[in-house]
Amino acid sequence: MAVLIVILIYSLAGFIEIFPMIKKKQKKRLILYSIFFIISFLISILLSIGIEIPSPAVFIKKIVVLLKK
Amino acid sequence: MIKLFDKFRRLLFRENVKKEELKLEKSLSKNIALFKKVFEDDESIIFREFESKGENEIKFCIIFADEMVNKEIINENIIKPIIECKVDESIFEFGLLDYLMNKVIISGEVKRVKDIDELIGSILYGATILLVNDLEEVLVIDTKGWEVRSVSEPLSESVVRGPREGFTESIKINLSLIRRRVRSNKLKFQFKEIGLRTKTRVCVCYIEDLANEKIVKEVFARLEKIEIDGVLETGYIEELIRDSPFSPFNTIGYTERPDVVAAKLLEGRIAILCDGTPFVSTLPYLFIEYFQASEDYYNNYIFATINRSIRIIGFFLSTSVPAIYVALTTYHQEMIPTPLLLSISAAREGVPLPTVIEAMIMLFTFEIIREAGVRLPAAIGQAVSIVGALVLGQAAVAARLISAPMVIVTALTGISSFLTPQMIETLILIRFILLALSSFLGLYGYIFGIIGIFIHLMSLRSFGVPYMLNVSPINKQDVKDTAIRAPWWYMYYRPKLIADRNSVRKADANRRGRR
Amino acid sequence: MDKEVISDKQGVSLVAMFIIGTYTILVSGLQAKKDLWLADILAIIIAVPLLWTFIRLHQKFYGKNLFDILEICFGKVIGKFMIILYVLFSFIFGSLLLREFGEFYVIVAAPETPMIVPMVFISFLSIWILKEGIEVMARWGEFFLPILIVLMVFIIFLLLGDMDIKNILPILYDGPKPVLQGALDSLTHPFSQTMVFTMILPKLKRKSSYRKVYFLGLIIGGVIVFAISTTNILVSGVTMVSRMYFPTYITVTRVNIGDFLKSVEILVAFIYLLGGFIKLNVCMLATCIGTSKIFNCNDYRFIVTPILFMLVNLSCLMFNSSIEFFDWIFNVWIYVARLFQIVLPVIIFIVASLKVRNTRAENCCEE
Repeated sequence: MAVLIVILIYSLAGFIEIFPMIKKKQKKRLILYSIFFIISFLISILLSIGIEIPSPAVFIKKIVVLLKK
Repeated sequence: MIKLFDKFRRLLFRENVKKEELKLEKSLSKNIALFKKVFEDDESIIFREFESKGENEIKFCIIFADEMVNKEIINENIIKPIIECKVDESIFEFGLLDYLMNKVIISGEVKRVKDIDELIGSILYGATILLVNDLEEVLVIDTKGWEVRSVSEPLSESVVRGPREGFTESIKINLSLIRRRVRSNKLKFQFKEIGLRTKTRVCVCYIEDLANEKIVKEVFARLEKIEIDGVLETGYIEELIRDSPFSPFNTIGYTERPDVVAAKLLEGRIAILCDGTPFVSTLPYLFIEYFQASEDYYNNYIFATINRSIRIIGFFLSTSVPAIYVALTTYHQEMIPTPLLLSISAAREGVPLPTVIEAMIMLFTFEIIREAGVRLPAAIGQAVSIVGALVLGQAAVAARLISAPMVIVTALTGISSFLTPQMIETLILIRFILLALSSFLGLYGYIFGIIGIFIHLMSLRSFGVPYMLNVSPINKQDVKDTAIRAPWWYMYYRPKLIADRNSVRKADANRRGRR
Repeated sequence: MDKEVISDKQGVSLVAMFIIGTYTILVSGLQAKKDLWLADILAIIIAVPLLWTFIRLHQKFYGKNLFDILEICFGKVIGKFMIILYVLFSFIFGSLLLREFGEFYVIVAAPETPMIVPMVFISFLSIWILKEGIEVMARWGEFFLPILIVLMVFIIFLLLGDMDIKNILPILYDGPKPVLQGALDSLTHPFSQTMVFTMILPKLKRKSSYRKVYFLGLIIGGVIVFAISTTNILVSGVTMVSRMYFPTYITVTRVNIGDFLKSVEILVAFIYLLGGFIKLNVCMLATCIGTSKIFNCNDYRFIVTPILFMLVNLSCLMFNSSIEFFDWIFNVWIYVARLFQIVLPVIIFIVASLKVRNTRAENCCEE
């Protein structure tokens, strides 16, 4: 259920944003946009399915604790 | 590709196709035949042939459109002098038209024209054309005369104190109303004809050293680009030249009163008049102008300030009351004081619908009544309003379909929306958006809606001028004409961005104040 | 709009709303306990030289933002690396803000709503305003700041009756050390967070505008922050305040005027929403501008949507529970923040001063 909503929102945003960029032929922006978009899309899908993704918070905490010592 | 398009276009406008073949000839009868063909099947165009007295009988023919001319002028000022004048040999040929123009025809506007399109256009706008035998040029004489509504009180904007003149459908009368109020030679009127078939006369009006040059240029540029079959009202032009076509807020205002237009011109704004409608557009139009009425300036300033505050509060009430009511009763009941809560819940007992649906139905019904009220013929009006009041007010509540507080909410919303008549359509839209949002998330949804609406408002520009100029309460200079209405002796600066050249309103700049 | 221009007043309102932003919800500097008000005043005083370094950075490189300065001072390679660091910093900062808002909504307003719902709404509004640009943001801030202040004053006024001066006395009972620690905490959040503005402020009208924007914003924001924290202590007492997640909110629930005016805490939520919204937008603006700088693009607007989507993702996955969230903020993020907001800007400032020993630049600050 949540997956469907995620796909819907992402495809809406994708349609609205990607077509003008294709028309104007802004390659660099299009590539950048697509990279970020796809990464974000994958993470959202994984989240909505329920798969746990390692959080950077833990990572940063380890560094800080290390430095404090 | 372009050739195909061109052919297609020519097929559409039959006159253009004939244009390549149409040319004035010397022979009078051939010209008459030409015009008869152009106006084929149009029986209201009159052809009157006559001759002058004297030995050299020169044949003339006048062509005019029956319903557009003042027949008296034609009879007295054209036919009579020509028939009665004695034409000598010496004036023949070359000087004949000049002789007629300068010494015979009695009329304020006479022109020599060769272009057929222009001739057709002027016949259709009330001019008379005079064809002379053996001459290829034609005289166009202005003989306009048709029925117009007399100047009366504007129906859409009435005041208690202030002039009761309103614009009419004739652009000439409207211009005179404006000119009478601003008798400065810096007041400029520039005409354009917009609309391929209607060729409506549109007039752009501004005061030269007050209006921002860039905005004037931009207006003309945009008017040039308009390509449309017909323009019947300034509303058409508004939509075609406005800045943000999808915004619910007007970036171009309208009014039916000449004193309002004159005041706006004096502030450096630009007015657009359109033949055939009493409504005049003014631009740039800012958010704060929704809440300004001309009466504010004629009345005592304290009273005007109170009225203006009421209007601003009315704006908030009209958009927010249904949303807040729904949010409070559905999500945040603890915020309502207990006695009120008890009475509301008592009133709501037995009502089958959730508050949101109730609210939507009531608001929708109110819109139906409002729209129907505009369309009804006066005779039925009474009956319908009684039915409306009874059905909605009494019967629905008594039948426990709608709760009484909801009727109050709807009434309050509806009536406060009429405080700012230019904003009614905007308010409906905002009202429903806020209602929907607050039905999902309670007051937080309402707050999201407010944030969103203000983001939109802040990003609007009307011809380059930020829409929300003067709205922020911080700037002391701006407050003087927004939330309050400072007395005239205190307002000596024009709004900054609109009249950038002439910021001191009055002549006595020796009163304290640099900026 | 080719050039984004904001006036001084608009800049001031942005800074002030930024500072007030989340303070209505999270009160900082609680190590000072009863002397929180002293800690606040001290923090404001210490913030002045810190903000002065930000101002001088702006004035030295008139019209450039921090990312440009980093590239100029540290060269291409290290500069790019530092830009990436700062982008990540503001990104994580933004996700903390978003998460905080989600937590607030779920804990206080609607416990059954999944946290992602309010987050999605806020990020949608954020995408909208970021695409409009900083000018719209500044105008929006200019409009809402007075409303915010009036509401705050109104709330404090309503709470006057519940204030108990004994909650503050005796002054300096525990000695000056907790006050200093509290001042450091207060400095970190919220005052030195204004460092984010170095990344986004466009060219202001005059060089002296920067001074006005930062200092006036600091003063207005600082006064309100001081008022909020003092009111909290006065009304609820230290023990209550340190125990609660959202002190101001709980404090305001006490308002009860003649049994008529109750539950005005929604106003606190309103203030938080407005201030937090600006704060989030400023951070995300910094992130987007930084990202577009990394890849050498002119305009940041095209990248707004995917970055904000990622923000929502990050906010959801960073923490598993509220407790973890609050613990992380108070124990981990404080140190990270101190590094990026206080230490690094000072280092950058020193490097910049050494690099640009231009007499012209020095004299120009008098404009």
